[in-house]
Amino acid sequence: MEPFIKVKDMCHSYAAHDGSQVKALDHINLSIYNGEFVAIIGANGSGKSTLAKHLNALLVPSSGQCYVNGLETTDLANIWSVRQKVGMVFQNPDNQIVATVVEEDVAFGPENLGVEPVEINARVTEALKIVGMEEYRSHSPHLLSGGQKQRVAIAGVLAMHSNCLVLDEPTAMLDPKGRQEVLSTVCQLHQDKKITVVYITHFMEEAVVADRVVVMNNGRVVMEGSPAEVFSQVERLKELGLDVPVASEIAYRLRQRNINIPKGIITDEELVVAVCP
Amino acid sequence: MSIILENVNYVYMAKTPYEKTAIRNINIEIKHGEFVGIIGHTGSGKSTFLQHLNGLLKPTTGIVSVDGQDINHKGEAAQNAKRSVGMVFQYPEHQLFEETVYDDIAFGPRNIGITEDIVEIRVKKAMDFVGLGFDEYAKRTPLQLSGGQMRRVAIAGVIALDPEYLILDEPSAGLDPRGRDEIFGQIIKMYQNTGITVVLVSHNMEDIARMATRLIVMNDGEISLDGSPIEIFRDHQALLKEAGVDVPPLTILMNKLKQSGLAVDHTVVAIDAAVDSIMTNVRRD
Repeated sequence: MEPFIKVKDMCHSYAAHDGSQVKALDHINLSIYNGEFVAIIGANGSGKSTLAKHLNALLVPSSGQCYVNGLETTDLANIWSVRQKVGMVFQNPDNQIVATVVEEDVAFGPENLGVEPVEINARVTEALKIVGMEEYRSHSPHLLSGGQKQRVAIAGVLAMHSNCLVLDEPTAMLDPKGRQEVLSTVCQLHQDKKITVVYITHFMEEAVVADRVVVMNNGRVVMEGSPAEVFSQVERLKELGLDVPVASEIAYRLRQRNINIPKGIITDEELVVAVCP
Repeated sequence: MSIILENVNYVYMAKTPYEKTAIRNINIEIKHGEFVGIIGHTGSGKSTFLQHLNGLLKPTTGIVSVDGQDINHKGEAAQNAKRSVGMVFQYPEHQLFEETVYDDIAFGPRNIGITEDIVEIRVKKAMDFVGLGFDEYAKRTPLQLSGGQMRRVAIAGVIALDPEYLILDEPSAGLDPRGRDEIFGQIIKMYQNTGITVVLVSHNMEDIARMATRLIVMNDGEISLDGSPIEIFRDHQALLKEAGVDVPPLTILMNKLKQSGLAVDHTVVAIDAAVDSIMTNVRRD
């Protein structure tokens, strides 16, 4: 099967304040398949956001290629098609709300694509329903909570009929309840609507629900695998300045102290099964 | 020496259709040398509460006093009392504006008329505290630093004011785990070395559990719990849930182990203690 997003030897450089070239992305190779849920983790400055912005042509590679649905993002003729396929949700909910009424905000994307008004109306209704925000349709977005604003932003992507949702630390500014709302909305879209998800986060508990975890450091992909494979490498992740879920950490330390429990424990439930009588 | 709030209420947009009581009936004393953690969901009144501690908001009714001085009076004594409370807002790096890191950190002290030679000592001390090398960073422009470094410059700007009370609103939001550990490591170090009073708002329950000597839970504009973090996370999980906040992931895990029949101590807040507790109870094969 052809990957939905294919990144080949991709580099991205920009000029720093002293005129030198900084390589934000350094020969990235990555394939993301239709319907996959990929989490990307890495320290601040490791290149996660720069990579995300390549996936819908907000940035284009300095060298190498990025293909979305077979279309190369450097070709200007492909840009609108790429941006329709891949929708972005950013960290700060207040930076991405454009309208003064929730339904208008959700309609903004399809309006720009030239969708017929009747069709837009239907799409807005459906999108708000999916993210559980129908009752706020005619509300003003600035009175919503952070988690609700992020769900409105996700609805905006759905209304464009995108196949892929790229979320760049969507929960960093939210309280625990908001975080839970956003993550469960994303999981539900992935399961029920088969939406491809690329999810950047500093919360390892969130990365655990992904099909695959990609770890970045200094502009490179340094680890890749199932959550169990990645999070059982506790020392390696700590070297990279990252955390592991609390169950992984405890399982790792128990193994170090010769307690016989299986490798690859990442959830509380797995640890309970391993150590409880 | 303490910050005291007596019967404090704050009403937003009073006498309009949007009138909302953001905090009500707040009675609390924050004593010198305490490390107070504050948790609560978005909209619970945490930020409104914080903004009363240094007079950014005046209570609609009630009194806020710092070291015995009502800070909402006019006059120099009230000014000075307010200045002893340093406030680090959420995403403080958005407020950086000077051309160099040095000037940005020096802005506060200069603004209150401190002489340039003392300003320099304060800036050096503040940069040392937040772990930014003076020679490497003082002359750089703050706007081209990484997010974590910018956050440190902003915190240094408050430290340079030499506050008695340090108020921090989500200082680790958006930082990676290492950046978070560094910032909190420095706050703890400062707390232990100088005896400064710290009030910390965070959504990260693990950090609160690890550091705070006292925990305040806000819900719907009121203080719903006030006590030691260990007791609150142990005894009040239902109330915490009602307040829309989590207990730390480690506490959740230890509770699950206990419920499944492993006789662990579910009140531990440190990973090491958790591992020890599991070790002494787990069956060995």
